[in-house]
Amino acid sequence: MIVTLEEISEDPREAIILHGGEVLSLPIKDLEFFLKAVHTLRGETHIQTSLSVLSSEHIRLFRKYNTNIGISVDGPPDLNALRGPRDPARNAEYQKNLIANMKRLQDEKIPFGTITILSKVNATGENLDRLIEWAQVHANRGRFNPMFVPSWHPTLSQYQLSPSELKTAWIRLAEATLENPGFECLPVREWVDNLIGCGPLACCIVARCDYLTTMCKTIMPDGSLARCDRCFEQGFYLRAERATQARADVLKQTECAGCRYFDICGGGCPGEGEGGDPRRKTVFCEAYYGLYEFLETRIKGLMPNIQMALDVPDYYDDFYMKGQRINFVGKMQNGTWRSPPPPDQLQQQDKSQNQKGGCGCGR
Amino acid sequence: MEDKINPPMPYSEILPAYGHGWIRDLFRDANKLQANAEYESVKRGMREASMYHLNPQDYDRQIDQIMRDGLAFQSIRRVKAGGGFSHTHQDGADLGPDTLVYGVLARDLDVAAAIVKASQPDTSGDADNVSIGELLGYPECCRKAFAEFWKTTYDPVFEIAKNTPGCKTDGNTITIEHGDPRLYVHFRYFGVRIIPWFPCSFNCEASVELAEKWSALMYDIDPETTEALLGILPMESKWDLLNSQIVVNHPYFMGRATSYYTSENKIVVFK
Repeated sequence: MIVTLEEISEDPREAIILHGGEVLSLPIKDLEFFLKAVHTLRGETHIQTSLSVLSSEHIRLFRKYNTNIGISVDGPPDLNALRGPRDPARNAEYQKNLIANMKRLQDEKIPFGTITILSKVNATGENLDRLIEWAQVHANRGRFNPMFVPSWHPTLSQYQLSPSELKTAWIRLAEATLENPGFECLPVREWVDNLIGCGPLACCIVARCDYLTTMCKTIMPDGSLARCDRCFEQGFYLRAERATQARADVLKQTECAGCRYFDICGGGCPGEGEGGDPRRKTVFCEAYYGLYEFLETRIKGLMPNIQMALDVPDYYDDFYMKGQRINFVGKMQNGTWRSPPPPDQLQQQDKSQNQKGGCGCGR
Repeated sequence: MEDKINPPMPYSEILPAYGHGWIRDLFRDANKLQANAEYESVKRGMREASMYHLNPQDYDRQIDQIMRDGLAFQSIRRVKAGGGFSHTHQDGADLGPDTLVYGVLARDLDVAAAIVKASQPDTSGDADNVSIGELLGYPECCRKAFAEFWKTTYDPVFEIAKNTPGCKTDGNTITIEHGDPRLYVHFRYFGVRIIPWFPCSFNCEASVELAEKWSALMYDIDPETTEALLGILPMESKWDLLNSQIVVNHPYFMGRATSYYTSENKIVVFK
């Protein structure tokens, strides 16, 4: 695993995140082994955790290895009900521990972000208002991804938002984001950047991720390199040796023909393909389109004469790839990861692989 | 031809099932074996001619071998190299590392010349595929069927399935229950096939008879790879075309390749 990790790390654009399962359930000695390995390579570490457990030893490691923490949480306890044990009593204990552990991190002044899965439990009606309010208080830096249910799953789809519901949820989040400059809500902030051409295109779900190689790489226990775990539902984990843009090339001429936002959407995440088919456009097309349309309208309402990425033909494939930008107004709060790579690196890179961003995973 | 859109760049790749990474090695060996079998089939007199590519990285060795074996080569045209499997040749320009020379390997120069002549496009833009098929030693029924298939598609897996006696059709899904796996051509995107032609059906008797000879030839060249191929070909698999992309599902791998455009799924299940 470490050999593979070192190989991946040679590309500075690759973020390395200890994911799970539950990474904090590892014995401290093992957790430190992995944190140390990543820290040696990068000088910082990232984890994604449910935070259902947290000890003084964990906090010591977070400080020692400069750990960026992502918490998988879908809102206050009653909105977070899909996470944790199914037994109600044990789930209540799980939620209590989580809240206590988040408070402990805050008390210890250890920053964290969140990944929230939008579902029928937390992203419709009044619950959506409560989620947005909670997020701005407890998780000012958060990613809000749609719940993604594998096509074969018999029961979970009852919790998945309809495209229309997701559109409403994302637009409501966008309204809150635009009113609160300190609220780093993703994908809203990323998609503003995509519109005004401050790329690279983010996150992965709109960056023409190839289903057989995927932007996200998973290191398997035997050290082999697998695809994004969104693809694991098909039972094939390993990566192909070459990438293809066939899906986007065809969608642009067929299902997505004429779409104003195709260049900054690419048909969406192939894992969300209609009918469970990665060759098709995302089942959430209406929501993707709706959020882009809302943001474009707001940006142009503020700056009617702004030139946007959409106004430059093949902006991301040609213009941006040459290290050029049309706008220099966009800058994320945490800075560097949104900056384009230097031109000499850009020219050496495969186009699709150059379009990197945060994680669109369903965690 | 069915493409009503600009086709995507040719592409083919496989994903081995977890624990079956060996399938990549097998497919690489199978690719070489297929090329060797095509060459040997002419050299050993099993047929008069074969289509052949001169490779810019290897052409000195190839020409030496052709001369040594007393065979003839005639070029048809320069085509683009690289990128793996492609349904049709794309014109290459200047000779160089990115250009292959596509032509005919034959026991006799006249046969090679006849195939070159038949390969020239007629007024409709097509080559004389029936004559070429005959000179390459393919069964008559398959030559005729191919000429028909070619009018509408360059990737006739679905059409062959439809033409197979005993197939079961349910909407756009065709199930083949009694095919001869040696005639299957839906793994060819990944370098795996026994016969080098499109059969008229997946249980064509004339093709089965010839496939027997082809598999014997391949076994003679590389018994281990041939046995492995004959082991995986009969396993249940599915060919599925949509949006110019084929997915082939097999217990040991998932394959993807580009093909012609269809807005509705076309599926063939091989049981």
